[in-house]
Amino acid sequence: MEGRKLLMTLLEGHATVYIKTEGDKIVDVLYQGVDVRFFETFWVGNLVDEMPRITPMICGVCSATHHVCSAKAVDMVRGVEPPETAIRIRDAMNYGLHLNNQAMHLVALGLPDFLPPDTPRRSLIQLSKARPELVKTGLELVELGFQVVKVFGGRDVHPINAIAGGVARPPNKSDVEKLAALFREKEATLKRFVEEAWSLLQENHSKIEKYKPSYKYMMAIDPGKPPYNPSHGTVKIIDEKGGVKTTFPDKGPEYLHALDEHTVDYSYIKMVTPKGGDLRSDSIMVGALARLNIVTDYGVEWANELRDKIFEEWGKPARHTLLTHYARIVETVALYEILKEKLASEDYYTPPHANPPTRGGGEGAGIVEAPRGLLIHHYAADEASRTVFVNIITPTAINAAAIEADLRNHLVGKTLTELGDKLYAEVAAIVRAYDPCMSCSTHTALQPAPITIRIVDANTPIKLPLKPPRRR
Amino acid sequence: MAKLTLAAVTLTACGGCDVQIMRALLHPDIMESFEIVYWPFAVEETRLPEKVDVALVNGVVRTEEDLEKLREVRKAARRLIVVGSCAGFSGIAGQADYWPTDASLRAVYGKPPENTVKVLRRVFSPADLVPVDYIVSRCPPLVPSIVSALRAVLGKTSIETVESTVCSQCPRRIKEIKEIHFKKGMPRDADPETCFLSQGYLCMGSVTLVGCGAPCTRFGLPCFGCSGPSHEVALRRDSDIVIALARKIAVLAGLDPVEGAETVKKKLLETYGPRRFYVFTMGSEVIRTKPNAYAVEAAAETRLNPELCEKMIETRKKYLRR
Amino acid sequence: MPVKPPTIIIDYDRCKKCLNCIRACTAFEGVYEKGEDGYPKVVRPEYCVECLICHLVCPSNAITHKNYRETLVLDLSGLPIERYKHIV
Ligand code: SF4
Ligand code: SF4
Ligand code: SF4
Ligand code: SF4
Ligand code: SF4
Repeated sequence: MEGRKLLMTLLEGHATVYIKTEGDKIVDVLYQGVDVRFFETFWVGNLVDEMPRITPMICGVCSATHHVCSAKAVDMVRGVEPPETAIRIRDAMNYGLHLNNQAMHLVALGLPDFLPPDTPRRSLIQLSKARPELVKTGLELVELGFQVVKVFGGRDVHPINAIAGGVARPPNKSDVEKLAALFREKEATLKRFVEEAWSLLQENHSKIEKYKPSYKYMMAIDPGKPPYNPSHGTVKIIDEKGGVKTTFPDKGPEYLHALDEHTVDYSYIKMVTPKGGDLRSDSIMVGALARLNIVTDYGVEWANELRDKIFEEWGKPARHTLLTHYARIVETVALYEILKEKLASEDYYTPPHANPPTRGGGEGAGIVEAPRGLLIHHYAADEASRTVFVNIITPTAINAAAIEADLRNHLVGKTLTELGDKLYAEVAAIVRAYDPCMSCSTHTALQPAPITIRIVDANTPIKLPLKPPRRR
Repeated sequence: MAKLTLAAVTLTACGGCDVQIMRALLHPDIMESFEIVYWPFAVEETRLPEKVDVALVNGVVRTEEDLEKLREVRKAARRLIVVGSCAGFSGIAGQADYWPTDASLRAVYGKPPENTVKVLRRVFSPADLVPVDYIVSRCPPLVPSIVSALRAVLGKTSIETVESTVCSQCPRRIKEIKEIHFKKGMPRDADPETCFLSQGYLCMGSVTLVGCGAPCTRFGLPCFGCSGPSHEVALRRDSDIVIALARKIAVLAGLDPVEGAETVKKKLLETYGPRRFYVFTMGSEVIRTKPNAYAVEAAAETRLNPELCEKMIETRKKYLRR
Repeated sequence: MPVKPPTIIIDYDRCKKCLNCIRACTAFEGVYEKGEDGYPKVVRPEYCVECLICHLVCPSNAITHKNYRETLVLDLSGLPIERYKHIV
């Protein structure tokens, strides 16, 4: 017995939200993610050294992060420490990608949600009508991020430069200088962007307040010392009060002792909880907001100030789900300033750029922060460097349980009649705040249209209709 | 002139194509000429209209729903442009065909989940299933290529195809090969001015479609074929990636283009295994239907040896069990 | 055999100077010769037997024969051909 089916947009990839009802009343919400491309099996048997070139294609939106994370894992598999210069180049790639993604998410995916719900075809284009300056400046930052990835990574989407033990080539000196000049020039663009985005969020205070958080933990990499760096540090899990529950290193398979992966029968996403945790009550949130609470010092005064403003208004730890949008603005500032500084002063040219591997293969895992949260690549290879095992945990898989918890908290107990046409907007606001990148969830499976909302009777087993839904 | 309506449809894909489509659509002249009526990635509109003028499709057909969606968009669209290697030649997603789908499902989930959309038994590229008007190849597709395809649809410009390969844009100098010997792995110690083939490394440049500007070889890494097969490989029924590559290498080494090529081919297959040559084309019918291609052979490896699958599944379990 | 020798054009923008064409040419005397600039030059087109092996060994597809077989395509279905006309 199926009720309405809603199709959801402004997401990368596909997912379904099931709303189970008894009569008119919502009794449960399930979140089902989809996309099966089997990145965890298909390279088995091939050279593990090539993983960093293959894994970016898990997600074209945050490809550089996958690239860097994969290289970190392969370093360990091949038993080699990359030289300083190579680490700086890889970090620059990840910084650039984060800048690109945070700005892109705000203008293209997140902020259009703050337009009035009756706007037809809410999108970047509509947003640019309402807030032309915001979109213009945002897109400039997006391109800037792409340029950084291109200069350091070789290609702007799906970069190639990082290899086991370092990087293949240093960037071109004149390109880096041009970039540094661009960053100096565009300072005003950043200011304008931050003002515009911040004020739009300020106007929507009540909307942010409406969505109370109900995930339990937050997890992110703490770089330990400034400046903020999404590529290195210790992973920390904090609880509702901000107390540290667990920590584990950003390299090596220790994450297996701290996290559990759960297979659920209604979804291809393997959801993640802390070790021994319960899927329904122990969800973890990762992403910009988790970082906001865990990173102690961005190393950029302006970013720290903005963050403190958020803490003042919303308490510490700041947990309201929609605050992620604020957190993205803070990160945009931090990333821009850090990159400006680094591009002008850092040395990317002193050789060596790669160290030779010391063994054919072994086990290794790399953990970095992707724009959407913690990303884990875990490989093993045999003596001939052939891949034998791949496990990849993406931020979307970790967030899945948190999204479910938030949706449940917000919807269960309400009736369909009461929500009426607003149901779509409600679900959308929560899900989009997490920015689940469904294509990137390697352990998730299929579905053509982005989020679909299905309303089913509580006693009906879940079955997908063969035909994709056509009408809202 | 009235605006043309445009729909962008993503099947099972990585989102890279969506990003590139977004960058292409932001060109002022494109933005002026098209009205985006459906694009789940960036427009809040949930219904694909009955009729659209232009549709951009990216991603592979992996599930029954993908298939439905593809049919729907082909019916609706006057012009259908597929974007990306995935949509043109099955792309990286086609690699999944190396393992039987059941084995992959079991490896990742233990028991294949039942309450969900059905995964097809193999990967298809949309260009193999429905007639398409243009292919914008490459992974990720280049923004200027998408723009020029859209301009061509508008009738403003025409596009000429260039029947060449990545080599023509690569700055490396090809030298004679002294000895037929192939090295595995990343070319760490390779000379940055000389062609990888001349140094004994595998580079797919000479059998890969031109257009990317060879960023990989410029960055010290061999081409791995993300643009899809070159015209020579794709159009000649008697050709194939491995044999075409072997022929060029053989002549570089001063061997006979026919007999020598056979020797080189054997050596290539021995060193790298057949799968390595089809990283971006394994699921493509253009390649699979060739009598001389090894794409099917590569996939047969796991079908003929079920132990391989079991071993893969067991190893995965072993590493995850702590 | 055509009476007129084919016109052989080498696209020097694409040519990699690998000289595969010289090495592989089937004609007795050889159609190509290495020029002073290192590029292959068409010197004896009248000897060409039109085997087109030079096309196959050229890594960058730089050689074209005119007044001869227009197409090399042996595929009967015609589908991929159509497809390749429209690749960007
Ligand atoms: S062609 Fe490349 S960029 Fe496009 S969807 Fe496929 S993997 Fe992603
Ligand atoms: S084979 Fe590779 S390295 Fe050699 S010229 Fe061609 S693209 Fe360049
Ligand atoms: S050089 Fe090869 S792998 Fe690199 S972008 Fe070009 S076609 Fe793709
Ligand atoms: S084979 Fe092609 S690339 Fe090589 S020299 Fe001859 S024309 Fe030039
Ligand atoms: S067609 Fe044959 S004979 Fe003529 S130039 Fe080419 S290789 Fe030589």
